[in-house]
Amino acid sequence: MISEQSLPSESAIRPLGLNSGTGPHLQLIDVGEWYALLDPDMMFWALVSKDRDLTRALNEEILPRYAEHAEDMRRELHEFRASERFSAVYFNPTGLCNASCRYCYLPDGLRREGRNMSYDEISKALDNLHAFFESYPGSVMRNRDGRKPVIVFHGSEPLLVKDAIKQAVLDHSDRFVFGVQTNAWHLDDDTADFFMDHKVSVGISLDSPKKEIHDSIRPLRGGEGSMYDRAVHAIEHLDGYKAMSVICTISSMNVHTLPDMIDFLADRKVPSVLMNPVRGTQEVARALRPEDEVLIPNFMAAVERAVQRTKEGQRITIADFSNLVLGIVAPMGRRLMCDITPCGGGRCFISVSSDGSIYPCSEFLGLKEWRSESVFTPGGVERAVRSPQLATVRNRWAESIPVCSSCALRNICGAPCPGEVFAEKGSIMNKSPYCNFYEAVIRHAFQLIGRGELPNLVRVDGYDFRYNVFQ
Amino acid sequence: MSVVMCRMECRVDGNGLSHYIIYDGAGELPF
Repeated sequence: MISEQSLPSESAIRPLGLNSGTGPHLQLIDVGEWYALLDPDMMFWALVSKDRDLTRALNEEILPRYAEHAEDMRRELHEFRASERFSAVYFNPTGLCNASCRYCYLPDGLRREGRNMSYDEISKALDNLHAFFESYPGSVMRNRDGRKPVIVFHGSEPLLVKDAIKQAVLDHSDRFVFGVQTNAWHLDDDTADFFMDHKVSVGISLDSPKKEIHDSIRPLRGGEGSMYDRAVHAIEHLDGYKAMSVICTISSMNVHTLPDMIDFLADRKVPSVLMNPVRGTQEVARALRPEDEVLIPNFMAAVERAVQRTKEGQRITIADFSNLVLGIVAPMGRRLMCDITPCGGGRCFISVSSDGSIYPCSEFLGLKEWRSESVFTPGGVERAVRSPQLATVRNRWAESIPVCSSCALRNICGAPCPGEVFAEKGSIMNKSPYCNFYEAVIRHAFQLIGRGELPNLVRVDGYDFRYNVFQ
Repeated sequence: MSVVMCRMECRVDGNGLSHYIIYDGAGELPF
């Protein structure tokens, strides 16, 4: 006879099944006053206050929700990651640049001696890209479905050929949505007005609210003048234009100014800023990477400042951070495709260099191994997309990367960037050099969600929630 | 607050660039 004292406990007889057998697998991570329980394969997560009975929260709230939604969420996330979703092109109409930025991902020789595309070449390339987007099975932007793919004129400095760009906008706006990323040296008021009139998105490169810092990072190549003055003038002239954004590349030279940058931009009605840690695709850039001990607190302080300004009525989004938040609350709603594996390179977009060669992403432009077919050749875009170069990037799954494969955050962070890790390590199958940064920032994102700040980080108006538990 | 869970029904197909924000409509995007 079995004595009562030797009987196993109730929970041992009928366990939750958590992390054993076919039960749910939820990894536990410590995020301040919360525990986060997370299944990265479907991005099901729950925050549980540390003063709450964890077993009871699992039993009563978390596991029933998991059982209801897990399989749908797993299938959706896998399909989203595994599919080609071509919608955009980074298009370099010139290889030249009038700046000599200290960290540029393009080799200096290329920017000094590059070529300009003629208007006829730009037009022919757009014709071939249009044919690709209309016919390729992995395109999600077909004109015949009423949708337009995106062309972003990117750098080098695209406004060195601004007349050709304006003509392209006039001639091809029925087929594409356009954007321009510029240092603003050649963005005169008339050109800015033209872009606003034709709904061209405008991204301005500005690294610091302090003139001496910006101009020392991004000096004019030859001649005299302040890049900062032109960039700030352009921002003020655009005057809250909805399709304006700022790119701030974070390096050891400007990292201390990130929180003040938020106030500077919010005061000028800039709706969104990308704060990208410098990509170490070139050795000169790797020398300018900020230390984690400085980068993490300054980035978080900038996030807090942006939340505060948004609460006060001047909405400003740090797009990189908000994209990580979307990775948590709406993985298929991510706007930016760095923070996901496989990333967007060769899967959602391609990059076209000034000689017409197609690459997976602009980060690969200085790496000749990754060059594929020409955009000028009929059928060249589809052949490029099917090339080994682009397919290799498309097959970079976090589950196959050492360290990432067991990380609970692998489907929020995305281990960026393959171009950067290839340049540094010789293989794209390595974790991000900013691994510590992403870990810290994602934990911070969970804490802000727990604090109820979600509406100040992403737009929730107009979206339904599959479930939304705050109790 | 002791338990928080949510999932937004939000899917953005297209404009999935890595370094750049494109607004193509009137506030329908999650940023």
